[in-house]
Amino acid sequence: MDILSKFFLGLEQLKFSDLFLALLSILPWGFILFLLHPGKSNRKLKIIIFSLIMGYISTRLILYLHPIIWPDIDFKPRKTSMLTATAHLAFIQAGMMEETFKILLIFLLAFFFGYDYQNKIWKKEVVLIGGFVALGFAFTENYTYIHKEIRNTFQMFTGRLLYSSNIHLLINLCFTLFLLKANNLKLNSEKLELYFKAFLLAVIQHGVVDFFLIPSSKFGIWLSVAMFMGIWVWVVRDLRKYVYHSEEATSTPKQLFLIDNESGNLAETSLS
Amino acid sequence: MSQVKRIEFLEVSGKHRKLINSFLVLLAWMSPFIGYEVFFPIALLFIYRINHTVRSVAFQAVFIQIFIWILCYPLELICQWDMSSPYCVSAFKDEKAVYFFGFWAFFGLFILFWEARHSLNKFGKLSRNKEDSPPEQSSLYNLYQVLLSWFSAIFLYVFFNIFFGIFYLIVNGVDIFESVGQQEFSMFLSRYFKGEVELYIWFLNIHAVSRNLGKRSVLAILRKPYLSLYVHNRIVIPSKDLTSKSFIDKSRFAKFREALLPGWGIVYLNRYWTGFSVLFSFLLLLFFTVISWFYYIDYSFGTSFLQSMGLKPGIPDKEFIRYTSNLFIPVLLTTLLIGSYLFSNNLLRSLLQRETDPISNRGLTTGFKTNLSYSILIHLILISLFFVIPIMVTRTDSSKKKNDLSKQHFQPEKMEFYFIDPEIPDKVKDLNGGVISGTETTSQENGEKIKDEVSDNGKPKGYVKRIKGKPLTKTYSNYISARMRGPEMFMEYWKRAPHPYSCVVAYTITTEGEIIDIVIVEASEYPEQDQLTIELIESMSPLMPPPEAKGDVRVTELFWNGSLDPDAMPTALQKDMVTLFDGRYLEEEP
Repeated sequence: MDILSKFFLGLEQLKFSDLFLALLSILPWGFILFLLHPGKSNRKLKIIIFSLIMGYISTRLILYLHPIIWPDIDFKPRKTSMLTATAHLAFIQAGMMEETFKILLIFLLAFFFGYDYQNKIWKKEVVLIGGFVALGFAFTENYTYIHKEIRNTFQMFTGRLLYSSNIHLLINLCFTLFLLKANNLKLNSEKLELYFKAFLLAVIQHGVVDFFLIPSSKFGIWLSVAMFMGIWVWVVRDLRKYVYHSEEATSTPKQLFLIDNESGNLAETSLS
Repeated sequence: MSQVKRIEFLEVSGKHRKLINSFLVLLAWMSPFIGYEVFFPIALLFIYRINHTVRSVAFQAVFIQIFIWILCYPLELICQWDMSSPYCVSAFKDEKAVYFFGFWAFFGLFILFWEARHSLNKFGKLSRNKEDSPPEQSSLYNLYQVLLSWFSAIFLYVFFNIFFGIFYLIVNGVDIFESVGQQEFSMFLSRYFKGEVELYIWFLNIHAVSRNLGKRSVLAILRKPYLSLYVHNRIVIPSKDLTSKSFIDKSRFAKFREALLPGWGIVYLNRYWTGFSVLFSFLLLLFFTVISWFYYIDYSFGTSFLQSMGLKPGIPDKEFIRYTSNLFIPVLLTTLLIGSYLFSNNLLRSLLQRETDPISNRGLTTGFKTNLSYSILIHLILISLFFVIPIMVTRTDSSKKKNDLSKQHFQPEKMEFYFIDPEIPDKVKDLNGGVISGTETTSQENGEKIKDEVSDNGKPKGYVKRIKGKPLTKTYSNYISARMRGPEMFMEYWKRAPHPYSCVVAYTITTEGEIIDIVIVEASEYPEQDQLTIELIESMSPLMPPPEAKGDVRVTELFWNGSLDPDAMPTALQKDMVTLFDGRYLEEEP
């Protein structure tokens, strides 16, 4: 019982203003994901609530297991170079640990809400599950960081809002889109191989972005932002292809310009 | 007429499209302020192919940011090269800056005038909606509209600055009526309201106001390039016939892009894997070449350049300088850069011959030429991780790991080392001493972990676990050290300092924080450098008032460039002072 209470209520001294900021740090992205996802709102809300809880549990699991897996012992690791330490922190401690737990819980929930057992394919809902598990994770993590930061709370909040919540979301959306891509494969071995590759990709994405962000150099931040914009482009294109694309979008929008393929000129335009 | 793929319609359709568009437009305009820089609008241009609400803003945000970067970055480089350069002075530092900003202010107003002229020529009126304007617009009405837009632009500009200033004050709880608050606020202004930010806000306002003159989403002077970009993007579908006009046009556009920036033309042909690897390889090579030339010309310039990006050499400075002082290295890198440029243009030509390939086959493919770029990129990344690393990161030489740290440094008996933290503290306590915040240690094996202790004269020996330590209130001496590292001339000062150099200076800090009565107590053999020392001290004024001081504080400070060994100092006073925190002693005047 003691272990359970320590596990679930590990956030000592709950501060509501920090909790509010943590909620705000995931709200815009969650709201957009909710709005754009096809389907009935009731079902979407149910999935979102479970996913957020799973995200919370995955963070608590990591926080609980972290001192067991990486005991803070004051000896040899101190001597390793900071570069190696940064790589270890980015790829193993953050990338591998966080993605493993998040993805495990995504799978767990996806088997309840996002799997069509009759046709043995993943439903579009897995994207919603992946996104909100990531946001649930980000919410708990953001709260911890915001709570710890006493002096520059607002700066911490904006940093978490603009970078961390986003990158968690994108990495897991990217992963769940691979589940939808696996629907096109016939053999189970091929599917498993794709899941494993998708997991490795998530670890690498997380690791590379963190590796460049952690040392806080201007050049590193450029690289990191450029990379996560690249992931964003990829995710949006795949979302359109696998989730949002429907038969509704058949009529030519008014705003569309048509180009004559032969001449390359604008045939119709709403601009001057 | 081509059939556009239906999937693209998702960009402009849907129930919540207006809301999403507004959100993306806001983020695109805010991108330089929120750290997304030019990457976010570029990503928008990749994602949105037909949504002109988003595309037009993204295009203009990219254009304005690149334009300002081209305008300001050379000036920044000149400043890094030589602080006293007239370009640097006129652009950033003193009252002459008004000419620089004045010119671009008038340029912005001219853009508005041009917008009005374009609208009148094209539509015979300044507004698209009939209700907004009288049937026949008089010259007086047009003049009134232009003047109104000028006024609006200036008003908005002033409003933005005041708004951000007040926002900062509220968020950080700064009391502007207190001297500490005023000082913090002035630091905020100098840090964030630099030339490029002000220019961006100005052009952003110009764009906002211009919509009243033409109600078009793209500024008149950017409309042609914007539409051209759109046309270019619409024809990048696989060609069936390599002799058709569309293919010829596509080749021309791709070659133009490739000539401008290697890799861009290949990306344009939807070959992202090859294109981006070529692009990043070229950019990394360009980066290495620039570093090597800067180091070759003047290593302090090279160091400043790397520091401005938060980087430093990954190998010891001495070795790095030794390598880069050899002309062979920059020449070799320049040759490789030219080689990569020629290679990418040649690669594009061969890829154009495969333009009949469907888009789905344009990912990872076989072939030496197309895959060479991946190999080059990976090698360049590995080289960059070895030779150029972030300032915060250190690399331990494995051969020295087992050695006691004390053997790597000069270590006179009973002497402490100090860590000079460049972060300016908000609160200070007491005058002298430093705070335990460093990591210098005599031995990692035997050092003890120190917790929450402030020593009178700097930190004691031992291993300090900085990350876990609580933030401690720093001393006024810490504050002076950090403030001294703030003025732009600090780097220049150390760049010019002879080796060895030492002089002792005394100065008084009044209860209001003013620096007065600067006297050279012990001069060096270099009067010019002594003069620079005085100027450096003057440039710090006004300071935060000394804490709990009833009277003025007299500072005696050693400025030296050389050994920490007291025996190496020329006078008895300097022998004593070199052992103090940052060579400084403060005492309250009676």
